[in-house]
Amino acid sequence: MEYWSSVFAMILDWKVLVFLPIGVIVGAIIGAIPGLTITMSISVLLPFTLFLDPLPGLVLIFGISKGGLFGGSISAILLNVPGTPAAACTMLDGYPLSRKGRAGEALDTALWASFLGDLISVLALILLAGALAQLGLKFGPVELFALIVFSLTVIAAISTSGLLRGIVGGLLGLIAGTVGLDLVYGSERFTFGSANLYDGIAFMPLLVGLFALPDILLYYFGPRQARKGVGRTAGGASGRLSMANFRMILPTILKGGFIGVILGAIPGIGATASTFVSYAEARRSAPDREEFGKGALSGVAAAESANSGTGASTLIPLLALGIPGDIVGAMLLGAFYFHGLAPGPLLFQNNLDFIHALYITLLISSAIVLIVGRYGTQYIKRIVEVPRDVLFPIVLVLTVVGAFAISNSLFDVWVMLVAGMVGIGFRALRIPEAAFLIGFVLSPLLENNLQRVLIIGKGEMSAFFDSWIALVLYAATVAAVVGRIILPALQEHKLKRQAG
Amino acid sequence: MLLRLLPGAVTLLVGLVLALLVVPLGVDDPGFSQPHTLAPHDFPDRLSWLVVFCGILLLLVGWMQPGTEAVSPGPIRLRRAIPFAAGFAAFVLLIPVIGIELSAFCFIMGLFLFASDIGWGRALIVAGVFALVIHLLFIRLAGVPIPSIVRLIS
Repeated sequence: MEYWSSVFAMILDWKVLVFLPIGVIVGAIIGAIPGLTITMSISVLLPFTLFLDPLPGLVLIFGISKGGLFGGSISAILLNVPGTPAAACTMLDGYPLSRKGRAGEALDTALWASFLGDLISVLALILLAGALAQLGLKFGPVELFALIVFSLTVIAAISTSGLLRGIVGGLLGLIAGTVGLDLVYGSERFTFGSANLYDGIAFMPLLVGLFALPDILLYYFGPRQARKGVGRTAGGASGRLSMANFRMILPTILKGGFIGVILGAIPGIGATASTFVSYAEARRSAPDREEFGKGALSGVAAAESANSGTGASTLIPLLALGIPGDIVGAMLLGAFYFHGLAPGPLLFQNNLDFIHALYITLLISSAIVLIVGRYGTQYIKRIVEVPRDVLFPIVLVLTVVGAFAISNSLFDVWVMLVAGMVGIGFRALRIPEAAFLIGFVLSPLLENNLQRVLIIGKGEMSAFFDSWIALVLYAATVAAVVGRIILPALQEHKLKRQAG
Repeated sequence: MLLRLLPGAVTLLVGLVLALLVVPLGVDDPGFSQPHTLAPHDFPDRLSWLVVFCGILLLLVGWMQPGTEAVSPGPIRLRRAIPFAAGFAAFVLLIPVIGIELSAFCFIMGLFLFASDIGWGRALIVAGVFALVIHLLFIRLAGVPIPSIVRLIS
């Protein structure tokens, strides 16, 4: 009883009750504005959460992420412009519905699909993270080394830019993560005499620079663009989803939610790929499959439920094993560390009350998404039309304030600017920033466990294979690489045969 | 063809600079080594050579396979980029001198007036309100330790 009262005391803190809805509203607005991404908004706001207690700070980030997953659907349905990459599938049927004057039904479908997909995702997190953390307790240096290698390889393999570029991104991230003092000898590495780099490259400025700055810098470096809003909304947002239609789309929503949960829990896959898998499945099996592409409610439901289904399930490997599954996970890992919490099995042993408070706030945030979507869409729709030349200066100032505030130093602002230029270079060479960031975050963990395995095994290579869990993870790593190389070749061969 | 080879060439160059210059010059030698451990330069050194290897593979892939081109980040106009960069640097450097509120106000006003079609009146209102929001939200409410005009004056 005393335990649960401490849990509820954490949740009923006014900061949690204020910042959770703020996060959802901000996320929904930013998700709805094409050109502003969830990762951009989280990277801009993350430094400010460090001045809050751990729970309010983290729920603000979770709120933005969840609100953003739903917000992307608003512009996809009303403007035929996806607010987020994951909303691209929603657009395929959402916009045709709007043009038929059924925008209200499409938005309702997106909202219920987001709510239920998210709820399934949170329940999966609650059920699975603890069990996985139990397994994680059996992980020693050998297993952890294999797990990090597996995670980095899968993230590289899944990258849309290709396996090789994903690996290059991961390797450069790992190298950037070695800046600072060496773990064993305490020697300086790549500090070049600067005391600002003794603790390594600061995570927050790097994050803000990589994810928030490139779009803004390119906007101001390029030719002046005619001032314009994103577009005009098609049709009104009136009209509601009928009970009969809700019953029709419910199985698609549930299926999409589970697809999102499963694919979201695998490091590297994320929301966008999950929506396409769910959409393809619904196109095969939904009652209104004939209408797909022309305005099918099931199309919107499939995409949105899978999209939101990934929301909490990406946290399963993060909370249970300390391994981020996507960019938001890597950002959250940084936020956890800043608050003195290390995600992984020990978090479940030492901070179980915090974990339970987090679970409950995640459930509450699902309900807040529903309320914000039900009553706030009409207002969010108006904000979507604010042009970039008004938004970008404001975002730019926020990035500087955030970077400066962490250590009250201009050095971090310059780090952020350099990271922004590196981000532009990555885009030009199509090297995924996500692989770089996750490599950067996991670098000390990888090197530390590599050192420990070498010491335990007295330099023998056989020590790396001295565990069945590690062997399974190595096999999965090889399978991911081979699959990434062979599957496209098989697909190409099949297409050639069909053409011939 | 050049665009197809560019990602591999840049990766190879970065890898070589890391392996041959940055790692040898940037890592201090501890002067002793414990048995069965990696020396401070070992881990970044191996990673750098892996980058070199990936660069060679990317060059080969770019040479043999279409669809692997570098993509242009978009046209860059120096006439816009240089004043923007100068304005941005001035904004950052002025923060410790005149505080975040005033420097943000000037920077936003500048961007509104010279890089958009927003008129004087609206630019003044938006920049002023935003400077006020920064002060109230971040300095007063969240207690972010950034130079503020109020603190600088007092």
